[in-house]
Amino acid sequence: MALLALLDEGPTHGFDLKRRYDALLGHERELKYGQVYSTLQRLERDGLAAGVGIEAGGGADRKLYAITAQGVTELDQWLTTPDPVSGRPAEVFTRVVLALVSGRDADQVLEAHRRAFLDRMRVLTARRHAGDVVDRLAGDYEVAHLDADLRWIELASVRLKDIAEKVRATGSKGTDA
Amino acid sequence: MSDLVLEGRRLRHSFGRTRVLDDVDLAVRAGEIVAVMGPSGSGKSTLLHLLAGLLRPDAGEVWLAGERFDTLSERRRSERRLAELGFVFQFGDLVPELTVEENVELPLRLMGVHARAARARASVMLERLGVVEHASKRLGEVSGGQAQRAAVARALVHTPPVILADEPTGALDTTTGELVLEAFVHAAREQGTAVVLVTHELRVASWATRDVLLRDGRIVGGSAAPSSGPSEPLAEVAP
Ligand SMILES: Nc1ncnc2c1ncn2[C@@H]1O[C@H](COP(=O)(O)OP(=O)(O)O)[C@@H](O)[C@H]1O
Ligand SMILES: [Mg+2]
Repeated sequence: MALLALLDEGPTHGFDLKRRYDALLGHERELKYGQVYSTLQRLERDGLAAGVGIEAGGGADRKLYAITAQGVTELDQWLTTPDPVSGRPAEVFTRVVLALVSGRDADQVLEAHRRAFLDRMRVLTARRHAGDVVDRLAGDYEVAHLDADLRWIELASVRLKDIAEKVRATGSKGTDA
Repeated sequence: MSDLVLEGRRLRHSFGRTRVLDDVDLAVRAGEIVAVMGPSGSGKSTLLHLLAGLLRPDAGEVWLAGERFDTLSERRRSERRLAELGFVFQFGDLVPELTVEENVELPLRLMGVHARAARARASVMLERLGVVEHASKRLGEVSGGQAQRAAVARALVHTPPVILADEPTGALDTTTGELVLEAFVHAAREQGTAVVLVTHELRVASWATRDVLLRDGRIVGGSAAPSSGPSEPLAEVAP
């Protein structure tokens, strides 16, 4: 769908699409040429894009593609239809649970992650004037996610303390929370 | 040690029988932005009031610009506070009878700066904080967020060597909050201002060069001693 969105600007070839994708969204995970060409073939097969010629002076890999009317409809729909919200637990959640069930100190897990997340946030904040508007948006996005994770870490620290106090108060045998 | 501008040593404070701060050390160097974090009630505001000489500690010492501060007379502390500290209160303390710009000019006027020069400087700060269009409104006519930014402008207007700010972005959304944080970064960069920034928001703390974490009146994390050598990358200022 990302390639379809880039095609929406005007007809172009796979090489150019890859270059623009990487510049805009690549961020440490660039597209492979193979992926680009197989995606373009699939889009053509599904009627979302169509071959419209070969760029002058280019070889077979310079085939020009254009978005179709059906492609525009699909793209509009995709952009405004969110993925199902999954609540997929982050790695830190997994580790805290594993620390708890194995009787280890979950607070240490939280504190280590808190440190690392805050350090990362600081790097992103320091970089906020570097790059273009897309870089800026990417930075804001990551900061917002780190912020959410950090809020959860704060909350989890308090919850763990409550749990530990309850365990102690009832005098029951339990693992150190 | 010469660039230590503000230092709290083994600070202890109680309200009635309740110990609110216990053996808190905090040393701040010129040009540093230190975030003081911690949950509500952990003693952040109390620490800031002790450092500003608004409260006297039960035990411990406060040093300002290499001189003992907490033992000075009330009058001497006020004089030094005016000249050397900018304080942003958590719940605001601008003068309601004055306009926004009159409030911001106040420290300069008290220091004897000429009215015209004070106004010019105040409007530079109000501009930086995005509230210059409200300059001539009375305090009652602006929003809480606008008043909070005016309070930040007032704290910075006379370029004091130390800024103490208590949740200065508490009433602000992310983008207006960034104006405040940019203003602190600018002061730290350009004037070597030391900033102590109380916040419970990690996003805000990420603008600081380092942080300390208070829990139940004790420092439990972060780095209370000033980082040595060239400080960590300070957030970039817009050119
Ligand atoms: N003037 C006061 N009189 C009595 N108790 C106070 C006073 N100011 C603060 N406290 C108490 O001291 C503790 C720390 O308060 P404060 O420094 O305002 O925390 P924070 O700013 O971290 O939320 C809290 O338990 C608060 O209720
Ligand atoms: Mg407070």
